[in-house]
Amino acid sequence: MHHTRSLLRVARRLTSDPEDLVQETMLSAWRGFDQFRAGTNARAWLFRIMMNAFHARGRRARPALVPIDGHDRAGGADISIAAEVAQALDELAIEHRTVLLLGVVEGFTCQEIAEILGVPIGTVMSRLSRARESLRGRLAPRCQAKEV
Amino acid sequence: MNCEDISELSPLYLSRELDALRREEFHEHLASCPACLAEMEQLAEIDARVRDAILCEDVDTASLDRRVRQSIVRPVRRWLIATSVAAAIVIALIGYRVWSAPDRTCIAAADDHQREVVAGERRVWKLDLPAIGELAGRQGISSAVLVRLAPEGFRLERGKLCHLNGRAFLHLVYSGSDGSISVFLRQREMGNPGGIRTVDAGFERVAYFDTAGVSAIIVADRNSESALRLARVAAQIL
Repeated sequence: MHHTRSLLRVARRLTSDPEDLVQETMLSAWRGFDQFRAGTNARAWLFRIMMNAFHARGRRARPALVPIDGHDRAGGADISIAAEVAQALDELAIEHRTVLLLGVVEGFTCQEIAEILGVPIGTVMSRLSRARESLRGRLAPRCQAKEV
Repeated sequence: MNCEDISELSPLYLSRELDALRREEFHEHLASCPACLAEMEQLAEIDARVRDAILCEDVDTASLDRRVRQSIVRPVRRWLIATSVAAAIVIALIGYRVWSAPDRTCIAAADDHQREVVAGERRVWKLDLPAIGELAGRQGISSAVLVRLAPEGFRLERGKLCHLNGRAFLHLVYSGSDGSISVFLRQREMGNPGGIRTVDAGFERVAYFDTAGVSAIIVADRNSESALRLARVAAQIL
């Protein structure tokens, strides 16, 4: 089905019940299809529905993972780089995680993210900057630990 | 631009939203400021690592797609049940025979189209016209009509036999610049011709009709009028 893969990919990193969230999103989209304006971005429209559903229901967010200490954060030598990056992403605050997933992974522009989340574009820009900074801070110790 | 501007505008730069003038100014500053250049390279590297990490994860949507389809179909049936009254049970039973069977077949056709054509699930298809024509012959359908069925801008791409709701159909895929259309054909043993009817099944629009000798189901994207347009043409040819 169109776009479910993208929606599920993001939902998995936001909530503990991602399939329920995407199912609710697709059902809402199907029921409200008349509200979709032909020629506009269907993918952004679906993500807006999903983020509204996520916030409106006070959905149980996937908790940010909190590392125990620097040593544990470095991880074992068998943990792949991709897994470390994904773990570092999961440690971010939910609003930072959200903008990174939408912008960096799904390729939405800041303007589109602002429309999806219903916040000013300046807020998106500052969240993206903080998210990247935060992620860099989390990844640096891991990389150093790997190099030792 | 100064270093502060670079820091502030970096999200718009990385998402390629800066207009040409500001982008040029941005590049000019990077060319003259090693610290900002290193910073931007690092941020771009972090973005690349995030993209690689998340996009390489396996995302299986098969069960979710089934759940979504069921949740879309179920409310329609619930509404029908709710509006039925006891006195109409007999009528409902008759209605079930004439309505529900083709409806279920249409949902199955839309599901096949979605999985096998849109999502590209691996199946064995006949790709050349003689082989597809032979399959059509087994369904009692003249191979001559297969090419004539292609709407303007579309061509017959592939075909195979399939089962919808327990009945064998010839599944043809016509492709064009506007996407792909699935046509499901089956020989009828008897019956009267019926008009063209349409049903929306998730993101697909399904048009179906019976001629004196053939049952036809046409599935296309819900946003397009292709299904109905092709059904009108096909009803004349078949």
